[in-house]
Amino acid sequence: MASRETFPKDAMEHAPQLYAHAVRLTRNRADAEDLVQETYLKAWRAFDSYQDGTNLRAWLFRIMTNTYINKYNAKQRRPDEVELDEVEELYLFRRLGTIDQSRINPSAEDQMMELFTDDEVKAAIEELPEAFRMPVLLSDVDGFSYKEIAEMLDIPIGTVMSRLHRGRKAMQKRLYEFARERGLVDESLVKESD
Amino acid sequence: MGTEMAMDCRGTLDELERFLDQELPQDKVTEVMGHLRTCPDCQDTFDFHGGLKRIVSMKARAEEIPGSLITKIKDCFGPDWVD
Repeated sequence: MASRETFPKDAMEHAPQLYAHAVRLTRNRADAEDLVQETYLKAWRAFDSYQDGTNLRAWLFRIMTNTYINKYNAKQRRPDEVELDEVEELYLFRRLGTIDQSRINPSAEDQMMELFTDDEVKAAIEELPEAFRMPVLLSDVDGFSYKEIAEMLDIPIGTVMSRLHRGRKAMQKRLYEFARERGLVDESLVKESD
Repeated sequence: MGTEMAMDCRGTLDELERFLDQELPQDKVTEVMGHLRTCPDCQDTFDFHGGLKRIVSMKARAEEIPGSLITKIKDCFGPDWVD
């Protein structure tokens, strides 16, 4: 069993990441604080069931995910019951040529870093329906494996993959819209169908 | 000639997400990388999505945890929290 003496500090190390995750989930800082606090209270109460040497971070995220789903009655609806427009493959990549054309190079990460603001990336994720937002956050932001995400959300791995795929495309489409709203897109290069 | 067919663009792009998510078995990783070495278009596509994933992670995590919340978390542990 894990040590009662070291557990609080070990668990505290994950607080910044849990807080950021909670803000993206609840889309609200006050609710996020409550969710983090509740997660730690539950974790400490369930301390006896935590097995030392297993992944503490994954365990804490799992508690937070369950707490969030129960507390906010988050519906783990099937994706086909959730409204999310079908988005073409490689949506953003295929439109890079229309953005601020002279500067964007697909492999120049620092340019892309400047292209989208923190707030735009956050909004693009937060606007995703819950069934997609949770896997995208857990994978892209928090780096969990498909298996870990499947266990946390209690859905099959294939469902994790398809939700990630659709969620990411929707997120990329939103990012492109942000660039367009900021006037970074050369409208003369945009196809009629867009 | 090798016993395995080289991966084409379509097959490589189909593995894009599992590759970037580090969920691809090693033999498939080798195949994908073999194709990328010979195909600048696919390499660009992979570079872009890999970069985007890192950027999304960094920007979505940019939240400063309030000091008051740290205090509340410490309180969760009651007397077992030792500074």
